[in-house]
Amino acid sequence: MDKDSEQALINQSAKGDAIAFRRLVEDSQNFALSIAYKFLNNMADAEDIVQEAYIRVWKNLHRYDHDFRFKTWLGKIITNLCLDTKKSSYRKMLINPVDVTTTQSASDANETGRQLEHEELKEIIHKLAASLTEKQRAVFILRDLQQLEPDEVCTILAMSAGNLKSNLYYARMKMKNLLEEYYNEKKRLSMDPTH
Amino acid sequence: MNCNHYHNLMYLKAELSEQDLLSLQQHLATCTSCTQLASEVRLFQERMNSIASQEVKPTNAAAFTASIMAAVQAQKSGTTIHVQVMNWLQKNILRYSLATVSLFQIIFFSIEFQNTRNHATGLDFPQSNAEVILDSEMIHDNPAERKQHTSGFAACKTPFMERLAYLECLKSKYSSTSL
Ligand SMILES: [Zn+2]
Repeated sequence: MDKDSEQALINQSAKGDAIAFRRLVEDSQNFALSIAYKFLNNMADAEDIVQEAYIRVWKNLHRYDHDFRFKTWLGKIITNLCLDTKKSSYRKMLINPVDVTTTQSASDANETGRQLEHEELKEIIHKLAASLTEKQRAVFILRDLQQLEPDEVCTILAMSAGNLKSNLYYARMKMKNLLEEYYNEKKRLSMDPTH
Repeated sequence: MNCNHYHNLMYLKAELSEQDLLSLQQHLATCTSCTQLASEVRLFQERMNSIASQEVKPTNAAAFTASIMAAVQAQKSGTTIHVQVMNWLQKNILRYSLATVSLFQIIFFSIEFQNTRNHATGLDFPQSNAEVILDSEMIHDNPAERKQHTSGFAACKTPFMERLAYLECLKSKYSSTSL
């Protein structure tokens, strides 16, 4: 959707036009769901958050700042809701330490040299991200797992470009090291005959 | 510049200015320890890209839009709770309709069991004369009579009928013939 038709739909929606709003939803719901899912790693919780986000958007359309793209604004609301959520999938992720023995479902002992199955990697990344600070986690999810542009991430998190880079640097370094530790521990367990 | 400076740049390769990228490449050409780290960082970044490239979408896009719009429009009319209940019901409709059917079946079976037990055994409480006669006939009658009685029982049996009304019904069926 180009910027002009987007603005037109926002203006119509702000006047209470539900059909215009539906078109905005249809155009942005996958994007919204993807961000929420990358934070929560649970589809049902992500869907709830997205629904809540659209309610907020609808209620605040009159405050919409036309300098931003609609998706950036939506991304900001989703991110804030995810960081504040009491959803169990997210809280659990924050309090549970990573347990290598319960996370190796996808591959067995003779597969340690190979790349982890995609699902397992996703699962482990989600758990390891719990050890990041909130800012690092948000930056990492939006930039690396959702691949938003740096300036979009800055807008969503109200962060300067320098601040973004420093959070991103620490987040990536920590995640890389934790992931390597995880691989090594897994390798050790699979080679240990007593295990 | 020492190696630490370039470590920092390696992790931010996708965000670097052309100038920084060039200076990183020049350093990597001369430093083996940084080259090793750079390839690890690249592997890590590739793994993150593989997660990022996974498409996330609702199982049913139209239904998802509909549930969002229902929630949004409920805000207008102030019936959020109603819509939430409807959404919840929609999600769980199969489960709860099956549960309801099971519940009704349990009720029906208990009533039928109760009726059968009271009239067939007669051991639970004092019986009226009519019931004793009916029971004794049920035990000693011949197949033709048994069939007639069975149809009489079926005709009088309704799910919520009182025991007394049931007996009255049976009496009326048999008063002209057996009793
Ligand atoms: Zn170096």
